[in-house]
Amino acid sequence: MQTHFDTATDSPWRIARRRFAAHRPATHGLALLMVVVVGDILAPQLEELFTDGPVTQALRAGHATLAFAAVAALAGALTGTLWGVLAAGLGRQVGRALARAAGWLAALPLALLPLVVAGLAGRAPLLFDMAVTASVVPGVAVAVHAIARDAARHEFQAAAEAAGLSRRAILWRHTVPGALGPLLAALWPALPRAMAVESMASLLGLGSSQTWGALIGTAGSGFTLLPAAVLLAATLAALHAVGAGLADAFAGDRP
Amino acid sequence: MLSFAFRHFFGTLPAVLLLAVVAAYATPAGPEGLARAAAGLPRTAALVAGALAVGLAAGIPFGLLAHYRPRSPAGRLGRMLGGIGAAVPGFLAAALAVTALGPGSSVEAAAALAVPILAEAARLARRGADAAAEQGFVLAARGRGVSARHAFLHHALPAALVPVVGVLGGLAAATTAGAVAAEALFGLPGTGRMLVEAARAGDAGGTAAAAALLAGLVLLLRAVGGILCGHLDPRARVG
Amino acid sequence: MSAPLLRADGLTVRCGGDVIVLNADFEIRPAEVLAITGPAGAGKSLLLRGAAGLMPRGYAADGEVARPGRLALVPQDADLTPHRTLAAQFAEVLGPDARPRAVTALERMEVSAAARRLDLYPHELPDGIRMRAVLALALATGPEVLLADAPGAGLDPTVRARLLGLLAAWAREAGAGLILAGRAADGVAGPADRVLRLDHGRLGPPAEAAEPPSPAARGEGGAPVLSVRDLHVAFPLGRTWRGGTRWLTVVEGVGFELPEGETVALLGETGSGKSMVARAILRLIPASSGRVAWHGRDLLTLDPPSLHHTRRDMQALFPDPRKALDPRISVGEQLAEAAGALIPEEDEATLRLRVADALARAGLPAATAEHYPAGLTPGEAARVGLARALVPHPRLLVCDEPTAMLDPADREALIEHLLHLQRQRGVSLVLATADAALAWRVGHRVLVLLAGQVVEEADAATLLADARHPYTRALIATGEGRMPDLRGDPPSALRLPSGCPLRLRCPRARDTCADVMPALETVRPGHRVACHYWDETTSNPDGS
Repeated sequence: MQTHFDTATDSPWRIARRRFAAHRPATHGLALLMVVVVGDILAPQLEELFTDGPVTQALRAGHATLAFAAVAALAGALTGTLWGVLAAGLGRQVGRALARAAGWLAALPLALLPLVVAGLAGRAPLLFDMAVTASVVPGVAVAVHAIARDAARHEFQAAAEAAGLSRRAILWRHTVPGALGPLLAALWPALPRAMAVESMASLLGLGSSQTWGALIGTAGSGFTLLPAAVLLAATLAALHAVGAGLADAFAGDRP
Repeated sequence: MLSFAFRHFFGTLPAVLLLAVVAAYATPAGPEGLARAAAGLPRTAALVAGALAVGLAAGIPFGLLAHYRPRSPAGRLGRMLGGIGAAVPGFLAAALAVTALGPGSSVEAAAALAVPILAEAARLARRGADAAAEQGFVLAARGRGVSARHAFLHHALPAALVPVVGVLGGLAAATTAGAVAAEALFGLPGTGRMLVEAARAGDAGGTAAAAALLAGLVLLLRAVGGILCGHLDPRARVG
Repeated sequence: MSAPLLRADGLTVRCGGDVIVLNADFEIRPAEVLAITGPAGAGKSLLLRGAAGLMPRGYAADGEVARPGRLALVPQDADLTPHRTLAAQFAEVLGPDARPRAVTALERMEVSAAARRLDLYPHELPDGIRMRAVLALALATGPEVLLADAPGAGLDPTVRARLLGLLAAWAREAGAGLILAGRAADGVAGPADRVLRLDHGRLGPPAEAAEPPSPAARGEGGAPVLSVRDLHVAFPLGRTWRGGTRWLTVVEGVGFELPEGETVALLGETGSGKSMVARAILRLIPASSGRVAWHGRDLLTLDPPSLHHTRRDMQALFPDPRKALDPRISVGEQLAEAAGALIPEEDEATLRLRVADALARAGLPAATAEHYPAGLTPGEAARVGLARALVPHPRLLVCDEPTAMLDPADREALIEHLLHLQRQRGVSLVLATADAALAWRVGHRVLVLLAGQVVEEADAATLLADARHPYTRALIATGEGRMPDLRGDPPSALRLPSGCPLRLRCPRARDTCADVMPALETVRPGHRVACHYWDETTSNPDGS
């Protein structure tokens, strides 16, 4: 009961921040992520420390990998969010069909999409970008659909209506802002997923040539692939841990 | 129960057949591409199934130990395993294995692919065991005289496995994607390697055929997962 | 005096270094019922588990407990194992020849069609049946002592009271000892021979029994300010194959008149429609037909601007006060928002004064405005809800089970507050509740609802003295801690029985009850009843 009064004046964002900080893997992941990003920014300087070899190559490739994943994930998140919101809001026939399509597509091995696109339509970079983006869209759509569907069901909306607020005010000032936290937690996994999909395609020689995946794929024998592989594994683990922390921070309905 | 299994299975069949038909007849290379892809499918299926079996069989006990004996070494390992699943996806594990062991047999490939499955299974088994412990039915069974061992085996364990079985479909999709990479890296004959080669060569027919069959494999495995889920959790059999 | 079956001497429950229960002494004799009451979190569940020898991980129980050979514990939130059929679960504890004994145990707990239900999975059984099955499973093992922790806690009051009565009857007949644990509101004290109270870690004699509240004095009467007539609420369920729509009727033909400064209580359990009536009056859900006249104007056909203007006169209280607030925004801001929406013509300074005044009138310190909903206790949250409702100085408060989530102290405080409001400012109240005692205490006029219809209506005093409908009598019995005479569980709204909705549970049911739905008939002026056999005089106090 003590902590109860201490947090009485804390807004949910502050509480979420505190819960995130209490989630040990998430804070480790965040720290690791920051190390990777800072390392990427400082790559030119770091390169001078190591002689030109697999380590410097890996450092150099970090920039392309991170940037690509970020852009693809952002595009995929926007598309998927639109899809999920439409599926929840567009009424019974259309909405349900959209939701079901998203669910069905999400069940397929979408990580193979860049390979399929390369085989069917060639190796243009734009097509590759779109394929990676497309591979994360259905998963995002399914998650956003669930959030949007539950967002409209809260008791406080009836209470707000009794208190005189219009439906529109309730939607834009309460429902949508309240869903932003869970939405962030649901969209975050698109980032590691995009990175994994891109890395696998590049590893097989069907994607970019400047990312960690490509380095791993073209590595010769022995330990040349290790720097890139370690960086990739560490980044993926860190992203995943942060995602778990976000999901925990915004898990709704805690007293 | 049987009718549920049939319904579930045959529900996915039309989609698979449609994919195969499209692949066979919509592209110029057509039916021979489909035949070539189909020839390699059993090996790919065996690789995926093998990886799933090994990963689940190894991962579930760790996850359960993480719940029931959290301070034992195995339990601690079980708790840590959860995080590494994301770090080492199937294709990365395969790449590392190939570098370490050289191009090898499908057994090694399956073992490499099993690593992320092991981690995910451990994480979910632990979560399932935590959830089962919180629900009222295990204690209720003990309260009426069921022995601790019996309560674990027949009440807690099946409930703990429900989340694991629930993601079998997703695991199958991820493992199939990883198997494609593993086959290409290890040089194993199979639909996966055919997909990679066709993609590299720009062979539309081969790509479509291989992709369709792989998608069909995933849907099939998903159906099997659904049946298992229905077996463990009767609530899943409704709809 | 026979020897005790179970005896606990100095039972102490700890978690690490913290002591939760200190030196509890209690015993139970054959054919005796002991109730252990106490506030939530006092440690009653741990006490029972300690007595049974099934402590959770991380907790230890010291002290001596002398247990009988056969003992059964039904924990809080007990449920059936989802992946095994009922028959399999009986066979597990009874052995291979379990079926006849299983049927006997189920029938003892009044499970209808017991033999058929044995082959079903738990998710195929309705909630009430599942609860009864869990208890039957414990009974079937023939224990000498049964420890039951808040049995039937989530069920309707009449169902729960009946279950407790059945357990007590079994214990007395089988010569077993029954220990019940629960909060005071869970009704465990009703069937008990002895009551002990667990508070602040010590087990001792119970608190003084509160005086049963007397019913509200008969109202002054006078012209009604709120007049509800023939209210119908229905939800569309989908389309029939002919292209029409299937409707689920949740409220049918409800009407009442509310004079100024008085209270109408809508009394009913889940599925009665009381919540829907409350919301339909405020137009929070659409009514399909009927008339709701506030000072003569029909609210249901009012145009939106006028409806918005009228909202300042009518406000609502909701069952879960914390869920009725947006968790992201501070209390003060939400109240200010409500003030601005309801009274747009006032300037900001005046609105802020209104908010501070509303908080004060609800009995909250001004600092509460800075708090967020997650940081409020349920009692504070209920007061914040009240404050929000009081901002526009309403003349009518529609309360939908406002005390459902509150513990006894907070509940008492809120009710006192509402009564005070009524006395000082003449606020009219519509109170929807499942708690019979609350209905008599607060309501001048009581409407008893069942499956969306009014089955009895009268002044509170008349109803208490001379209730004619079996359902009302059962509710009164439950409120007074006696076992009601209603068997079984309420039917689902989607599959109501033909004729009278109560007929599957009613002790008076006869063939006519299945054929014809009873209409409201007048017993005396102001007292109406919808039952075919309301005029059968009975002198049996427990309503049979």
